[in-house]
Amino acid sequence: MVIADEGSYITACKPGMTGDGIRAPFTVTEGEAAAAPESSELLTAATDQYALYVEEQAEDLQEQTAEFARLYKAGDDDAARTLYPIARTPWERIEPVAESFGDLDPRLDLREADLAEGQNWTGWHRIEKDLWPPDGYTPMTTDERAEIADQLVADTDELVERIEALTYSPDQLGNGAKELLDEVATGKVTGEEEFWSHTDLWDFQANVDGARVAFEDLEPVLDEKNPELADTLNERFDALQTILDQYKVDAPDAPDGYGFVSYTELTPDQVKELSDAVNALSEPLSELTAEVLA
Amino acid sequence: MAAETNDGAGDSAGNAVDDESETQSVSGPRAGGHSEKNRVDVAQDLSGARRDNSIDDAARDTGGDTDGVQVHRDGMDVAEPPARRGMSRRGLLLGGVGALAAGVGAGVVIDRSRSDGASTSGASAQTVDFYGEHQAGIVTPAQDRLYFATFDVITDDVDELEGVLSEWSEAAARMTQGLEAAPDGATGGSYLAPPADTGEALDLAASDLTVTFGVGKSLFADENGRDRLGLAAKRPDGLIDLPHFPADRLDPARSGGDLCVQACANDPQVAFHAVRNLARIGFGVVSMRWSQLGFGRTSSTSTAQTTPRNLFDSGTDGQFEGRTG
Repeated sequence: MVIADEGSYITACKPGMTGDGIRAPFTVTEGEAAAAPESSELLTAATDQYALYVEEQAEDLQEQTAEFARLYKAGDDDAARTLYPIARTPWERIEPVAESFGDLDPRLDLREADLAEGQNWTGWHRIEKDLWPPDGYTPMTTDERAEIADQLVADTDELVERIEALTYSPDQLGNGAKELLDEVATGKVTGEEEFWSHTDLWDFQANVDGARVAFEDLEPVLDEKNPELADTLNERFDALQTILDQYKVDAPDAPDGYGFVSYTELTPDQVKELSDAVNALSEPLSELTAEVLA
Repeated sequence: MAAETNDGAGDSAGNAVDDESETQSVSGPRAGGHSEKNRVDVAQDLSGARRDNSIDDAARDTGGDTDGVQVHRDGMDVAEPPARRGMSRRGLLLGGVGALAAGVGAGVVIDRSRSDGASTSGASAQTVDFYGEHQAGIVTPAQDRLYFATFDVITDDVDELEGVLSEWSEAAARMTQGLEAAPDGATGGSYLAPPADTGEALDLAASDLTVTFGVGKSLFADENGRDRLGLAAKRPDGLIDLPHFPADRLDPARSGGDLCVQACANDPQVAFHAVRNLARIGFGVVSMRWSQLGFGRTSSTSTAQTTPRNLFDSGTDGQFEGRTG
């Protein structure tokens, strides 16, 4: 559901994604649904806190990405592989924000399976495949590596710069939390996100981290409006975390000193258990926005 | 088990409905197929259960307390779902379900006594009463389509299970009357929250939908004999596992379950919608274990016609191989 601001818009449908396609203009006027969400001190505090969190993660991402790119360009593959899931963690924590830039997201985070014909594949997963090459894969040359690494850094710098200019509304926090859980459900539980490195559980944890922060920022509001839902969400975040904790392993290079087992080590029953816990959290989490703004 | 139903309907992580394994068909929408030699697990469980009258009787005797959710047939309002009356916790969970459901393996409901009118008592030609002395969907004239699913209970808290069963009853009662799973449904709710109904049955008739619930033996004690829900004492004596049948090759992942839901309708989308919305309601408390589509004779044929070929049955001439027509 998108609540558009007032203004003139154009719909576009491009069969085959060629040409201008079929276009039709329409106008959005102010209505009841477009009324600004109520503001309160608690809500303002929530969005302010979340903005700080996103900035912090963005800076972390910038730093780690630069280091990762350096290692990769220098051919230090072991170190690059070690840093890969660590550097992606801040990205995954703020994924809905990062993805809100429709031009940057595909450049940075497109998976091979989602490539359109003729599209140039760049970003994290392009490098991932080069670092965890399948049989028959032609490794990138030093020049190719430099090009792709430099673009990763440049795109990340641009992302961070644009993020600094963002402000957030309470519904973006609530919906962002739910989006993160959806990310887990569609990409990480299935092992599709990190197809070559199998570091999906790192991303899984990072998505859950980001969702929990957004929820906790809104929690003082929710405590007033629907304490029962707040309790349920806390319980289910805890339950999911308990299951994730089983798969933690020591990772001295990670900021918290731990990482996660490879996705390939999970049995179907374990994946099912994770999936059930995600569903259990995701369903009540989908009520967060409406309750907070009720 | 891909969790990919993350669709615009706001269905949550959406894992549940993707859990279905292959969509083999069993013969007959009631999963109690008429094909003896080609039956699959579901059909086997049910046909086995139906052969055994003692189980049926035991179930009725043990669960003799019928003051539960299923006994109210009066006051059915076609436009609105029946109110929850007399739905005490004991009635709902222990009297209600226990009284009318005894399962084998997957917990197939085997109560064979007829409910009054069986099919279309009072309502429009396309609705079957949900509330009655016995559950609909057992002796109800067979609909064309089946969506059958079993669920495992993933909580140790019997109150949480009670909550889901209660919500299931309300949602099922609504859907059998052609209503959405919850008030406000797919389109009437808050813009800020996903809809309360996934919407794929919008504009479709009730299509004689029946939703029938059953319980499996594992609900009362898990495979290690642990009584995690405190229900062991409530298990009907007749609720036992089927013995081994010759040529059984059962896949544990596609057998058994703590609860079963059988949705039958003359439109496959209506049956699917019912189970999908129940699965969503159950997130965090129950988890879909396996599901099975089924179909039977289409409504365009009659008993005067022979059974046409289908994926499992050879038709009436006993020849299946080598025939393409």
